[in-house]
Amino acid sequence: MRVFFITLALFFTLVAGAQHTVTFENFNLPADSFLNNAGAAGGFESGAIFLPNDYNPDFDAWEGWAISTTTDTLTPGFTNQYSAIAGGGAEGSDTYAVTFASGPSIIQLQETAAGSMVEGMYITNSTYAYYSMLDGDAFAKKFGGETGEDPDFFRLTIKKYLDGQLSTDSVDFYLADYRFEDNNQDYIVDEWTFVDLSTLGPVDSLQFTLSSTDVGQFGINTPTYFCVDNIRLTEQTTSRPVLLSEAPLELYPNPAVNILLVDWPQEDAALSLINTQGQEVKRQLLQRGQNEVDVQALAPGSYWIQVRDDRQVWRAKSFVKR
Amino acid sequence: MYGHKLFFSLLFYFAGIAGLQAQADTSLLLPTLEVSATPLRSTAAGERTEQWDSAQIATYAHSSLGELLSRETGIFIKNYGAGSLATPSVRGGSAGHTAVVWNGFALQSPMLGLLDFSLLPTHFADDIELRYGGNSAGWGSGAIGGTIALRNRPAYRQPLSLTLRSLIGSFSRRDLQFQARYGSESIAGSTRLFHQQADNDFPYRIRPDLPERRQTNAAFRQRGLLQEFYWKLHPGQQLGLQVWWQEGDRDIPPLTTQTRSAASQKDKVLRSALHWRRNGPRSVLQARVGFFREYIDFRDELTGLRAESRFWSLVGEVEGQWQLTRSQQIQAGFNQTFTRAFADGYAEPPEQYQAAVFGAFRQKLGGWQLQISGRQGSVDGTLIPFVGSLGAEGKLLNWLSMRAKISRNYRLPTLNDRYWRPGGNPELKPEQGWSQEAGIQTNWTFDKHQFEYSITAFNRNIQNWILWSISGNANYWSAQNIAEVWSRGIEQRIGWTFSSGSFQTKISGGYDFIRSTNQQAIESPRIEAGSQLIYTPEYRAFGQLQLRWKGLEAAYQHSYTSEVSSLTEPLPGYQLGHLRLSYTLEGAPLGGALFFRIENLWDASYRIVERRPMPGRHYQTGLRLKFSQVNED
Repeated sequence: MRVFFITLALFFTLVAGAQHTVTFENFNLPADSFLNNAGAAGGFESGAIFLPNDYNPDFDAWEGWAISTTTDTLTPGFTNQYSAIAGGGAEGSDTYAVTFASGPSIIQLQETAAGSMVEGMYITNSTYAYYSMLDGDAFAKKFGGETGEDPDFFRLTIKKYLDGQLSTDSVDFYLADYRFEDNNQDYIVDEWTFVDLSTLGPVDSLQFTLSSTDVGQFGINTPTYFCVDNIRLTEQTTSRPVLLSEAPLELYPNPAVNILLVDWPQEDAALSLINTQGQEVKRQLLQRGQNEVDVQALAPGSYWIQVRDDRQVWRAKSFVKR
Repeated sequence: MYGHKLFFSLLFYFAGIAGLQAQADTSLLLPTLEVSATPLRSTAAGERTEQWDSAQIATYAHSSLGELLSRETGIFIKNYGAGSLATPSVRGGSAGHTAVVWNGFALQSPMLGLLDFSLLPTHFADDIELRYGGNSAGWGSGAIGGTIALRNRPAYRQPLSLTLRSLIGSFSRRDLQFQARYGSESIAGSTRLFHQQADNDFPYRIRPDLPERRQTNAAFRQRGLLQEFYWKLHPGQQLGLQVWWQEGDRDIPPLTTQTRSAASQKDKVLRSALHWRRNGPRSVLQARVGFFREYIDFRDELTGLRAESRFWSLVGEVEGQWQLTRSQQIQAGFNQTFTRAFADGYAEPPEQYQAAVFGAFRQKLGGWQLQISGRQGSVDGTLIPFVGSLGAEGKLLNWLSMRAKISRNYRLPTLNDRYWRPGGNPELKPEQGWSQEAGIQTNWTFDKHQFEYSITAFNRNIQNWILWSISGNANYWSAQNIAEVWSRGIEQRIGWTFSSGSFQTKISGGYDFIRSTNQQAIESPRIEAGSQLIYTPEYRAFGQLQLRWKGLEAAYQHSYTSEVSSLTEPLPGYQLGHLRLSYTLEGAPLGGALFFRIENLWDASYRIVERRPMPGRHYQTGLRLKFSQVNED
């Protein structure tokens, strides 16, 4: 199974446009540290990539993405939640990104890069999830179960959004696979592994969904963490006629509590609110002039506003719901 | 989903330790002193009760309250393993739906709302009473499924006695207990000390064809002291002082789906109480003050996690009981409880002030007794729903009696439910609902035979049941009043005793059928409407055969527990048998007893909690020596 989806060595040719590798080194993090709070920006920017982050200062808790240089490959458990099991970043680098999400995680391409090809990226397990699968913890089972024979797996499914549409195509990557007849072949990924995503074609954003055989009343028991580094992009100028431009709208107040006011200078269009998991949580008509968007029912966090009409899709700023 | 696992792991481990404390709840007439009038509160009409006196408790002297209840009653004890957390489910209720009352003080942890029964040594009580059903009017928060009263009694006018008990058993189990009791006309005292420990490294098999494994990191050690002093200040006035100190240290074993564990937990408990009582010709007045402190220290060497939590509570209560006429009694009381708790999960140490007034009226009508009770409580100055009960019991025929009760009951949200971050919800409402029960009981005696049989049906609906859940657009777990639980069932008890000369036979047993279902579908945690609560068996059957001839006794106990659902998979039902042989030589100044026990006689492989193995057949033997001063007269 694994070989279908993973290319351990990367061979690719540039068809058009420039190639970029997003390494997360731009944060200049000191050794053994992490960033789990992107503040009002609602996410971390690195090159052409935007990683949504939702930090709750009341609880000192985060969801989405964090940036890390921690290298602890030995300590199991939640207290070591920012470490990659490979120790440090991919290809000998220091910095990498780690995600924790109860639903899907999203990686967005910045507006100028939207529609580019993501050739692939390095992925590995977090130390937390790795030891949870290897040895079990108070919640999650040791993979293989008590007999060692359970056909467990921890799978990452990657899909893309393009023009607001979620693809049906996907790439599966097994972060752990215990389904082999011969238990000696069972494995948990412990090295940075390049996952080829070129088959997805041009993307605006990528959606990552974890699934596990260890599921209970509280959902997935396996810690829903994994780590990413060195994302390779190729700008595809030929694949898309129009790059998204920022929608010419004004919005305020930001952050908003109950009502978000949106000034729209053009003909009728459709407005969508997208949460950090890439899900559309609200859609309404946008008319010329001032529009009221009721955001009272939304969960606190940051959201994207996307606007489209018959001819085009715009990309807009994010706003924060308090 | 912020950190919910951490929360649940802390919750789970803390629960493993016993939070005990005195809630605003309360209780009543203290049984600590000799009682000339039956306290109203401890004998609410219409309830089914079961009692164990000091002689019966003595056979469980080396057991926790959880073990006694799981063998002698239909109560399901969710026991994580020897020395590990044990919580009760009475009549399909949650662990927080059983009130435990020590000489009038509620002991449930205000942080967790429950009590770890593995940390309640039975020999610290002189008698134990279990009252089924709701009794929040009498005992406040948590008295929904049942109420367990642990009582101490002063030994006035008893010569000095010294008792030493020891036990050794499989898996390096060692127990030592000491008790001294002494009482003059006006002063009485008792000192109890114990130490117990076990490595608990029992072997088990996952499947018959797989190699045997041995439990690791499962040792425990407990020690404690209960000191009591009582003075008769005056013929009708008594003062009592009780101090209960206990500490436990246990390793937390790995699950069967875990390679290893290096977690451990320490519990420290201090419970001190001062009781005053005045008996008048037609009245009893009591006042009591209690100070309770508990500390839990959870550590995991593997993850480096350390979580400490503690609380203290100060409880004050006065109550009185008046005989209005020969057939009418009235009782009233007032309770105040102040609690402060500390844990990393709180932004600031929460404080909680509770106050309650409660009262009851009892009327005798021929062979019948009627009782009406009520309680109005407040938490931090806000009134909580009024609760009350109406009960009746009496004889239909000479050999047939009946009882019935209807009550409204509640459980307050715990401090963790209200203040834990993230997810605590200060606005939570109490869980509350109505219970109804009715039963009949028959007794016959023929010659040397005595029979008894009882059947009880109950029904209970609880609204605003608190669950930690993800709902709406929220992305983290929070405490919410979302569940609704309907519990109903039938409990039967049967007994036969035959005595002839120095030979006595007793057979007793019970059979409980309990449906306790979630009435609302909930998305996360995933719960289907109409599904039985997890860890709530539908059937429990238990029986016991005792044969006694002079000082020799043999007892066999058997129980059946039906399948339960758990967090991830159903656990099959199981049957357990235990055998006990003993020889007692009563005498003065020196008496004693020897016993030998085979636990899990049929070597059943079973689990009470998923992924937690239980020991197979194992053995214990022990000795009791008692020295009693002989009265010169």
